Amino acid sequence: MIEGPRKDELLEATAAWLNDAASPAEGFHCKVAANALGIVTRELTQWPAAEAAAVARMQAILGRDGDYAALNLALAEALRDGTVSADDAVVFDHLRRTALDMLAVDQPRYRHELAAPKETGA
Amino acid sequence: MSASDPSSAADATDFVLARLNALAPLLAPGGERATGLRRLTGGASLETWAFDVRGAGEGEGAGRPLILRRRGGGREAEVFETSLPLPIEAKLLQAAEAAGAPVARLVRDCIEADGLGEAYVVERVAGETLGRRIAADPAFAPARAILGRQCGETLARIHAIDLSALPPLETQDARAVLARYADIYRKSSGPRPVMEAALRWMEARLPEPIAPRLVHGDFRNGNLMVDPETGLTAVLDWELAHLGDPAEDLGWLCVNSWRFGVTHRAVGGFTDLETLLEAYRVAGGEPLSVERVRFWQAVGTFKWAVVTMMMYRTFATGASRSVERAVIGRRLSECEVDLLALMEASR
Repeated sequence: MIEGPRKDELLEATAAWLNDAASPAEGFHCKVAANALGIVTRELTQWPAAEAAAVARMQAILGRDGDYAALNLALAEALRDGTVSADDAVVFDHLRRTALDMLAVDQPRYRHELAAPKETGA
Repeated sequence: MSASDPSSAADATDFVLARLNALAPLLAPGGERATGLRRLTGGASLETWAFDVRGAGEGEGAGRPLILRRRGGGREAEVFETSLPLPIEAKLLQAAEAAGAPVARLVRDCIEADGLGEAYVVERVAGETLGRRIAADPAFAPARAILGRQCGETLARIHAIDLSALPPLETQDARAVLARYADIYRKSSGPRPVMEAALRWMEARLPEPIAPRLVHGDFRNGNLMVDPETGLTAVLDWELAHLGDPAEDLGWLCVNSWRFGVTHRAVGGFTDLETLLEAYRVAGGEPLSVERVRFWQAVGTFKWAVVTMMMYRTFATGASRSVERAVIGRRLSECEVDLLALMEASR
């Protein structure tokens, strides 16, 4: 679940920075601002489909309905109390797909060692 | 913290310069004045300054290059509230140097009469700290060939320091560290499936207790001063030092976020774990299993996840409105991917 900063917070902070005459015009700060806008753009274009897929997977795992936030919370609590385990291949597949979808929004160029999901899905 | 601390940046420079000028004779033989004073990176609270001490009539290039670290009057939302007092850090630098670890040599552990507040002065060591350059710049290829071995030897020396000669430090074993970061996570964020799964994974793999050692606490690519040819020249940033499991330092050095894109080199983006462990053992470090290091790598990744949450909190609560601070909150996703990669590798 994308918790924070939310896209409205990113837009607001970036707009405030652009509007502030005292903002440093150095390359670094411009890159940070451009990065924030990139995150918002990818979230708007990619995240709705990723979230819908995550909802379907969590409904199957938990055997109940609900929106993303409610199911994600229920899954976290089930993992905490041990009623659901990440050792379960279906559960791990969901965690993998969700984490990779989120990374694709937040940091698409980040290099890591987590294997891509199998094409067929769970 | 000094009540007389100035508020503006220009006043701060004048304030520090005046005191360093007065201190110059104690900082270098024949020293008469401080020149080239400039503020380096650092938080609003902990200041780092570079300067040179020169004698009368000495021109450019003849001074003694030094670094001043001081607790300034500035306030900011601190991410770690556990930073050591600077006088303790100064004692650790001396102990590390005596043990043969490369550190910036302590020049002055400042006293109240110096007028700089909590502060110390060390030699300014030449080299690069930018992790990305150290991991990927072709100019650093000679350094990368030896850096892993140097890190193993240096960690073995730090971990061999006699604890009875050190100032009192907090002991943090694996269970305590895990409980502490789990607690901060629960206070900083709503429940997250990957964080919960990672906690279960780590709790099931708590290593056997081990004799506590001096742990640097932030030994990673980015806090190492590196020469392109000769490799490691100084271990920096001792403010998170504590007593604990020596594998904590090796695990933190392996966290993927500190490999700067060179993911296939598990140690800081510059070498493999086998090289690090072998050098550590040859230099007298007690043999550490790969599993123990992997456990601490997971703890380190979890810890970095918690830090990104806290950075975002300082933005969300209005303590900082910088875009940079906000965006760090989105680095949580890299930590969750890295935690899953560690869990998958152990299945």
